[in-house]
Amino acid sequence: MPSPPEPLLEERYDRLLEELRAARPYASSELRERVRALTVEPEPARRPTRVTRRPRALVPAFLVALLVGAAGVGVLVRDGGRESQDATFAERQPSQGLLDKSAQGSATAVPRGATPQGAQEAQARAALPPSRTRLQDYRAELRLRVPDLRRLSSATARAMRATRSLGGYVVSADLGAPTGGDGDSILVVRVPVGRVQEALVRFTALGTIVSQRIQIDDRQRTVERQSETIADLEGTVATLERALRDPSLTRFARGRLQLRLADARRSLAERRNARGATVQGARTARIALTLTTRAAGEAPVTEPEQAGYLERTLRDAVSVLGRLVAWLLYGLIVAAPFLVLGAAALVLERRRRRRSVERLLERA
Amino acid sequence: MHVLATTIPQPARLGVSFASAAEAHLDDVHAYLAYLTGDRALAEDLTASTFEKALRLWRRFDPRRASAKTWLCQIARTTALDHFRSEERRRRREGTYALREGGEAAHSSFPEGLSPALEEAVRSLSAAEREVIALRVLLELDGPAAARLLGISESACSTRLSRALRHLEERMSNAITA
Repeated sequence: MPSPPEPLLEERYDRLLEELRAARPYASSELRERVRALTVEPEPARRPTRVTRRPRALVPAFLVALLVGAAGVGVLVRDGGRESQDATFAERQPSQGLLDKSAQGSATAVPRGATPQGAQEAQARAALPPSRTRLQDYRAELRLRVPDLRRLSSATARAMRATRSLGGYVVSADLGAPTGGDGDSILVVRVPVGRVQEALVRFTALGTIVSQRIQIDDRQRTVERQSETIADLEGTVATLERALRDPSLTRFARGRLQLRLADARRSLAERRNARGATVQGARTARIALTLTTRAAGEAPVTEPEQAGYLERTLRDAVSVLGRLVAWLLYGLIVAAPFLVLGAAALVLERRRRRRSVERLLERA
Repeated sequence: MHVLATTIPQPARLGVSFASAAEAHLDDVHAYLAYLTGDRALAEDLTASTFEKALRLWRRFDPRRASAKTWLCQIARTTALDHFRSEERRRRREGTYALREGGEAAHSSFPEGLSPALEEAVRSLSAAEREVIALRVLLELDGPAAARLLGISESACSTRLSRALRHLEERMSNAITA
């Protein structure tokens, strides 16, 4: 459908436009023949353009693949690198320890029925001993049932005394014993890791085991990595100190070296503190002890249970995605100045080309 | 992969053949080049070159992105600009740039059928002004297509057209009063 230039222009230059259109040039028959001769020739064969065309259509697919890949890698890295959760389960399986046989394959709290006291203690002694050669984060959760509120109170007191006598300390204690009905007492204690089995044995004597969970995270590799970093930083500090003793240094160079030295020292102190905290954490085991008067089937009021495999996987995938986004942002921030410069160069180049064409047309 | 291949637009698949496009738009391309160059003989040569180029590039033509007329005019423009550049280089090389062989072009055969006053007025316009008149008035391209072809904004295209028509009218009236 013909498109008039502009209604206003059409009206104003009516006669002029009419004359221009009436005298529109047409191709001569000779030219027409020349072009027809071209079209008689076979059209050039089209190369197969399967993927090269419309790359925009592939962008979403590529992004989705990237995200799925990243999440998969994250899960694999988690499974391979963090030995803790699965190792806990794997280590637990052969010994069984305090696990109820009916609960094989579960890595969460395991409910169990009443067990004779002697058998309980024997099982507690056999439960997942901490490693003597590696640093570990040892965590245990124990839920015991006591017959009544009076026993609940005394068992809580005995558990606290047992903790102290083992060289540990009480992190938190929460005793809820109403005058009527059921009561709960939640204790979180830390005991030296070498005496954790003894602590478990003494705690199991306070009531009937309802459920228990033991989790061990290896910390040895973390500490080794921290030690390597600390050694590197110590080397850097020594090098910088040596360099600063050079009397021929300019004031500017000295200032720069001093700044770097201060930086390295601060990092070193932070890493040493972090390693100290890791080692300190691995020296004691954390035991969450819940004493309750409720029957085994009732809902426990202990700390929230550890997340299941699926939840952990999802959480890890989200965390990997978060990290990926952070890296992308980081890359974007770093690349932003170059992108801006590139865009400016493109704009200037386009403008230059347009000017050059305009000048060319003016001269033509 | 197969599905992707079938979704890629191919002119022939969409029912447009080069022969039909050439037949339909030969006059358009020629008219455009005649106005742009102001020389009918040169316009014929450039038109032939344009269609030769278009035949080679035909498999890249995507009817969903632009009409065949716009696509062919784009190639015609590039061909004409290349010609202008090479002419400029030739003149410079021969040291006669200052003389501007424009005289030769000015008296070359401009499209017939215009009144002497209008022909003189059209000839006095710049190539850019003649170009926009050809696209918007003769070829009746719409504003966005013409602007895209010229590489300028739509409003700039509109302004250029308005100015060109004003110049044309002024020069015609000057010629008549003279």
